[in-house]
Amino acid sequence: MSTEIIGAKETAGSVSDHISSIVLKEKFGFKWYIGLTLGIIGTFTLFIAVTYLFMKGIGIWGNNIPVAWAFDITNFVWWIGIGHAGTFISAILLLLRQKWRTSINRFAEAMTLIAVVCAGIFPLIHLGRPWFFFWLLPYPNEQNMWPQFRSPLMWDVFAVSTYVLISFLFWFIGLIPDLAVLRDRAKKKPVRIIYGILAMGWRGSATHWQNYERTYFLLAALAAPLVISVHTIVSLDFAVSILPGWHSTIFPPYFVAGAIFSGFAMVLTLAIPLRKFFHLESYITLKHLENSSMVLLAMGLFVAYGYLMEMMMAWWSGDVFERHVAMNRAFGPYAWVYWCLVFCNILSPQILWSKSIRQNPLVLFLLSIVINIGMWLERFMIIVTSLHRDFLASSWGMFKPTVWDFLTLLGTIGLFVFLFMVFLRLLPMIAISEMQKLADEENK
Amino acid sequence: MYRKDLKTHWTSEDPSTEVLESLHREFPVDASIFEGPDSRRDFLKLMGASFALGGMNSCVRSPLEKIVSSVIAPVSVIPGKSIFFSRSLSQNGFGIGVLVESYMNRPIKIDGHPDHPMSLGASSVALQADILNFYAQDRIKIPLRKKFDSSWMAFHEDWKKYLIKNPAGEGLWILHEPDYSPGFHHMRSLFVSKFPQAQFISYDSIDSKRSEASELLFGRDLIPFFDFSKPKVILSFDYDFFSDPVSGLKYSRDFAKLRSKNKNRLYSVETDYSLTGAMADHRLARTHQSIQFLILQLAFELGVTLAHAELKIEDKEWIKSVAREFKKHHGEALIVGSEFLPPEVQALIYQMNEKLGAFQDSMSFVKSHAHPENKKKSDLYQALKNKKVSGLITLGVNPIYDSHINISKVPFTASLQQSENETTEQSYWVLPESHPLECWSDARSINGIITINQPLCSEMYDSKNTLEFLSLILDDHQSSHDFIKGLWGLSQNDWEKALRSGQLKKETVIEHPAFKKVKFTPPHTINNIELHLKADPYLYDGKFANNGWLQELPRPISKTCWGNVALLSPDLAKEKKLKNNDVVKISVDEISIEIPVWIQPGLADSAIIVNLGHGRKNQGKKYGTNAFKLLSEKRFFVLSADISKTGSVKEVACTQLHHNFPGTEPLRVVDLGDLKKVKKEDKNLPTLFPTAPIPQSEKYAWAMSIDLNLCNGCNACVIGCQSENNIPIVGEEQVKVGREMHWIRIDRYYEGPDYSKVHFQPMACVHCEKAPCEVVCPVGATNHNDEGLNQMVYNRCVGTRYCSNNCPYKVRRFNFLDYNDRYSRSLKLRSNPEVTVRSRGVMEKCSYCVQRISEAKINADLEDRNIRDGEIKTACQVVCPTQAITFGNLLDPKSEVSHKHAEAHSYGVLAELGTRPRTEYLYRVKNPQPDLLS
Repeated sequence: MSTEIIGAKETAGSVSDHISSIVLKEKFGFKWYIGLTLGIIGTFTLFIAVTYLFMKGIGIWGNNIPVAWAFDITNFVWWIGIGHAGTFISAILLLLRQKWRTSINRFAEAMTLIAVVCAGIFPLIHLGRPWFFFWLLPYPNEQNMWPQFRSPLMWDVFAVSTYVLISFLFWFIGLIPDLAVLRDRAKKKPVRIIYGILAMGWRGSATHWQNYERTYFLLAALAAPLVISVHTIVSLDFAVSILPGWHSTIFPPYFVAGAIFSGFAMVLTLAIPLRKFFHLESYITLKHLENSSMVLLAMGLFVAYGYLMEMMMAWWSGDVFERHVAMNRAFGPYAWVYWCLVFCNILSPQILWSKSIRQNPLVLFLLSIVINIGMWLERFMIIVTSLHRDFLASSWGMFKPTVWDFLTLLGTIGLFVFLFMVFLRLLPMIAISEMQKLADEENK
Repeated sequence: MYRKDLKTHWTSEDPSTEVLESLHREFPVDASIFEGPDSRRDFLKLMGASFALGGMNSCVRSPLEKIVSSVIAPVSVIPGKSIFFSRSLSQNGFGIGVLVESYMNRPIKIDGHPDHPMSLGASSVALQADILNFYAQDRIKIPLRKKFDSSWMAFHEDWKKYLIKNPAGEGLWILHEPDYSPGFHHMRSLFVSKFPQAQFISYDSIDSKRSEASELLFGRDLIPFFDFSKPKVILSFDYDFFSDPVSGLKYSRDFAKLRSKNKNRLYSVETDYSLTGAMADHRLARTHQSIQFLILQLAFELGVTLAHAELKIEDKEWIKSVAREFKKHHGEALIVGSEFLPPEVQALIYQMNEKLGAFQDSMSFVKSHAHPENKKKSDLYQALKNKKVSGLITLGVNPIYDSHINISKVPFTASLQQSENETTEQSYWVLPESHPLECWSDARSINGIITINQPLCSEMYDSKNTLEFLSLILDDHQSSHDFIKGLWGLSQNDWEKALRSGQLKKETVIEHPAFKKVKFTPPHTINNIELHLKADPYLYDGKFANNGWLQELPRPISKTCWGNVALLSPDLAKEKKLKNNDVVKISVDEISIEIPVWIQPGLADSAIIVNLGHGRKNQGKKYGTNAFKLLSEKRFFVLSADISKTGSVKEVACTQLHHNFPGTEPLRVVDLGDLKKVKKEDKNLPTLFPTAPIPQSEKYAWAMSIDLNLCNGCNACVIGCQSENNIPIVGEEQVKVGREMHWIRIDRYYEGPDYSKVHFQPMACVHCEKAPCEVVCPVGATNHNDEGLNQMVYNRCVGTRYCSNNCPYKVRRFNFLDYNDRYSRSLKLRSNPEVTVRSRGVMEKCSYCVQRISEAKINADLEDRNIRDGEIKTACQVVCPTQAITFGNLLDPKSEVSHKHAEAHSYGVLAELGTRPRTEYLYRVKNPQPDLLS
C-alpha cells in the first residue's frame, strides 16, 4: 500500500503542467457541465424559495411556537461546520508542519469559503423582517441605537464575519504564486491580463517568497484560533440559553469537534470525485485519504463522547427537565432522528479502524455522505427536540417541515455546487507552488 | 374595490344621484351640506345604498339622535379619547348590562357594566365577541330580492301586494329570536292588533325542557334563579351554571364569593366535562340516564320520594354521603339540574331544594316573560304540511340550518338578517338587519332591570332592526328611537339619566309559586351509546359561526377549535378502536353525520358529545359538521346513536395536546386542610454570582396575581385580551401548525391517574424580573423598564425569534405571516387605536396592557398624585367573572396585589429557574369531603 503523499514520478515541471492545464484548457468535459447545470438549477431553486419567503414571511416554513428555529438554524450550523475543515487543514496543519495537507488545502479552503457563504444566507433570511438585517451591525446612527451586546446572535455576527474575512485573505494570499503561473502560461491576452491583475505583480523573487512565507504563516496563526472560536460562538447561541438540551457547558468543544468532523467528511466527499475526474491520483494520494479518515475517526469519537456526556449529565444533574430532554430525544416523537444520527455519526465511522477501508475511495466517499447527513441530523436534533418539548407541557408542539424548508436546503446545496464548479474552472484546485516544493523535497 | 362597487351601483340606481353621492362622500361627516336634522336624515337615507356598496368611509358616523355616555355627557367626540356608553346586549332574549367603548364614533370594545347586577363588570366571551359581528365583512348591506340588489321601498310594495291577499295576516308566520324586552312586546301587540291572524314563534333552536318542568310543577312558565353566594354545599346535576348564557356571569361572581374564602363545596355529576365539573370538589361522570337514577336515589335519601333506584354500590355510597352532608347543611344547600333533564326529574330537583330549605335565599323563581300566545315549532311544521303558510318572516333566526323545515312552497318569504345564512339563501326577500350597537331598543334583564339601549353610531348600512322592520310593515315607518321614546314617555332629564346609567328601573320579577306534587317516572333505558348534542359554548347554535374570534377560541377542556368533534371517553375509544382525528360515522336511525373523534378523559363512558352550531354553509366557511341534521321534530338533544369508523382521518385543530410531564408542578393544588402547611418560597435562589441590579423606579412595580382557585376556565380573558390588543386570528391551518396568537392562554391540567380532575391556569407573559428573553435579543427589541414591565418594541424587532426559544413559558407569539387583516375596511375600524397593529415578522406578547398603565399615569400626573390601587385594570382582569386576576403596584404595601403576593401559597411558575416572575399564582385549593376521600 502506498504511503507517499505525492506520486513518485512527479517533478516541479509536471506538477505545474498538469494543474495549470486544467484551468487553461479550452474545453472542459461534459461532466463538469452536468455539475454546473445542477448547480445552476439549485441556485435558481434557492432564488425562488427566498423570493417567496421574502414575499410571504417565515410562515412558509414549518416553524412555529414552540419550535421557532428549525431548518433555518440547522442549515446554518451545518454549513458553518462544513466551513471549518478548509481553514483547519490550511492553518492548523500548516502550523503543525503536516506536509500531507498540501494537495488538499486549496480546494478545502474554497469549500470553506463557499460553505460559509451558504451558511451566511440563513441568519439573514431567517429573520422575520430581513430588510432590517443591518440592525445587527454596530453602525453609528442618529438615534444612538446599538445592538444588544449580550446576545450570542450578536457575537455570531462578529465571529462569522471575521472568519470569512481571514479565510478569504488566507486563501487569496496562498493563490498569488499560482495566479502568476497561470498568467505566465495563459495563451490568450485577456486571460493573461486578468490573472496578471490578480497575481499582483508576483515575480517569484527571493524577497517575494520571503514576504509571502511570512504573511502566510502570520495569517495561519490568526486563522487557527478562529477555527476554534467560530464554532464556539455558534455553540454559545445554544449554550447561553436556559433551554434544557441547549444549556450545556460541553457545547463549545463538542461543536468544534462536530464541525471538523463534518468538514473532513465534506473534504472527502469532494476530494474523491475530483481525483478521479481530473486524474489527480498522484497528488491526492491514498495517503491523503487515509490521513483524512483518521481525523474523521478521531473527531467521530470526540462527537460520540459529546453525545454520551449529554446523556450522562442529564442523568447526573438530577434535573427533571434535563432528564426529560434526554429521554425525549431517545424515545420521543423524534427518536428516529436520534437513532439515525447515532448510526451515522457514531457507528458508521468505526469501520475506519480498518486500514483497507481507509484506503478504499468508494467506501470512504459513501461514508462521508452518511456522516454529512448524520451531522445535519445532529443539529436538527439539538434544535428541534429541545424546543418542541420544554418546561411547560401545555405549550408542547411538533415541527413539520414544509416543501419550502426542503427547497431552501437543496437550494443552498445547489449554490454550493455552482460556486465550486466555477472555482474548479477558474482557479487551480491544488496549490501549484506548494506541490512543486513538495515534489522537489520528496522526489529528489 | 371602491371602483368596482361604484360600477355595480351605476347599473342599479339612478346615475344622477350617484354622482351627487360620490361627490359628497369626499366630504367629512358633518360638512356644510347638512342643513337641518331632517334634511340630514333624508340625505343619509339617500346615501344608504352607496354607503353600503362603497363599504365605509374613513369614519363611522354618530347616530342622528342624541346619545348619552355613561360618565360625562360630551359636547361632541373628543379626538384621541374613548367614551363609554351604558346599554345592554341580549342573551337568549334577556338583557345583560354592558359598557361599550367608543372611539371617534367607532364602538371598539364591549365590557360588562360594573353597575348592572347581571354582569357586575364581567363579560362573557359571547358578549365581547359581538363587536366583531358588528364589523363583519359579510353583513348584508342592502335589501336583496331574489339575490339582486333592491331597496326597502321595493320590499314595501311587495309587502302591500301580499297584504291584498292576506289583509289580516292569514297564514303569516313570524319567527323571531327570543326577545323579552318591553319594546318588542309592545310592537308585537301592535302588530297582532292590525294583523290578528299572524302567528309568532319565539324561535330557539335549542329549546330545553325547562318550561315543561315549570308548567308541570307550577302550572305556568317560571325560570329558576339562583344565588350561589349563599349555599355552602352545592350539587349540580349536569348543569354548567358557570356557562349559563343569561346568568352565568352573576352565578360565577356569586360562587366566587364563598370560594375565595374556601367556604363552599361543589359536587358535580355530569356527562360532558364542563366548567362546573372542573371547579367541583367531587365529580362523577355518568350518562344522562344514570344521572336520573342518581337524582332519584338522592331524592330517596333526602326523603322526598319513597321510590329508590338500583345503583352500583359506589354510586349509592356517594349519594349517601352527599345526602348526609346536605342534611347537615339545611338552609345552606342547593341542588341544581340541567334544563335538558326530563320535566319530572327537574321537578324532583325543585322538590329536593324545597326540602333542603334552599328557597329561603339561594333559589327563587322569576317570570319568563314568554308571550302566552306564541306558537311552537311543531305548530309551524303542521301548518307547513297543510300548506297553510302564506308568508314566512324570519327575524334573525336560521331555521333552514337548524331544523328540517322546507320553505320552498311558501309564497312570500322574507328574512331580516345581519349576514347571509342558509335561510336567506332560500328567502325571496333578504333584508339587512341592524346590529344592536347601531339602533335603539330596550331590554329587560332576567332579574327585571329595564335598560334603554342607545346606538353608538348610526347604521353603517341600509339596515333596520326588528322594531323598525315591524314598524315598516305596519306602515308606521317609525324610527326605533321615536318608538322607544314614545313607549316610555320620559322627560328629557329622566331619559338622559336612564341612558347614562343604563338602568331605567327595576321591575319585581321574583315569584313565590306554590308546588304541585309530581310523580316521578323512571327514565326509559338507552342501551346504546348516548349521543349528546349540545350548544357550542361559543358559537351557540351557529349564530356566531362567522365570528373568527369565537371559531379560534379553544373549547375550554378539549382545547379544539375551528370545527366540532365527537368527544368520547378513552374507554369507549379503546373499545371502538378509535384514535384522535379518526373520522367516524354517527348515525341515529337512518340519518348520519361524519365527524372526527377527539378523546376526552373524564367523560361518561358510553357517551358521545357533539357540539351544535358548526358546519354552516356560508358562514364560518364550513368548519365542522352540522349535527342538527340528527335531530328531527320528535327527537331530543340526548339520543341513542351508533358509531362506526369510516377509515378516513381529519386533523383537528387543537391548541393544547395531551401530555404528561411528571415531576413538574406548574399548577399547584392543595387540600384545604393542608393549606396552612404551605410554606412561602424564597424568591432569591442560591447563586455563585453577584446579583445583577434590576432597575426599579421609586413609584411603581407592576405585578399580577392570579387565583387558580377562582379561575373557572371560561376563556373570557382570552377574548378580552384579543379585543383590547388587536390580536389577529390565524385560521384553522395555522392553528394546526401551532401558530395561534392569543397572548393569554388557559392551560388545562389533568389530575389523578384517570384524569378525573381538570384544573385551569391562565398563562400569559409573567414579566420576569430576570427575563431570559431580554438577554438574547440581538437588537434589544425586548427589554425591561424600571416599573418591571418586560417590554416588546415592535418597531425594533427584526424577528430572530430567539426570545421565544429562551422563554420557558412559551408565551411569546410570532407573526409568521401577515396575520393582521389590513385589507378589509370594516375590520380596520374595530382596532383599538391605543395598541399598535403588528406587522409580519414581529414578535409580540402580553404587555400588562401597557396602554392602560400609560393612560392612568397621564391622568395621575395631571392631578399630581400617584396611581391609586385598582385604578388600572388589565383587559383580562376586567372581564373575569370570578375576579381571579388582580393587578397593581407591589411598591404600595396596601395594594391588593401586594397582599396576594405576600400569601404563603402565592408562587411563581418555574420560579426555580431564577426568572423571578412578576405574575404569581395562588394555589388551587380543594375542599374535599372527608368521607369521599377514600
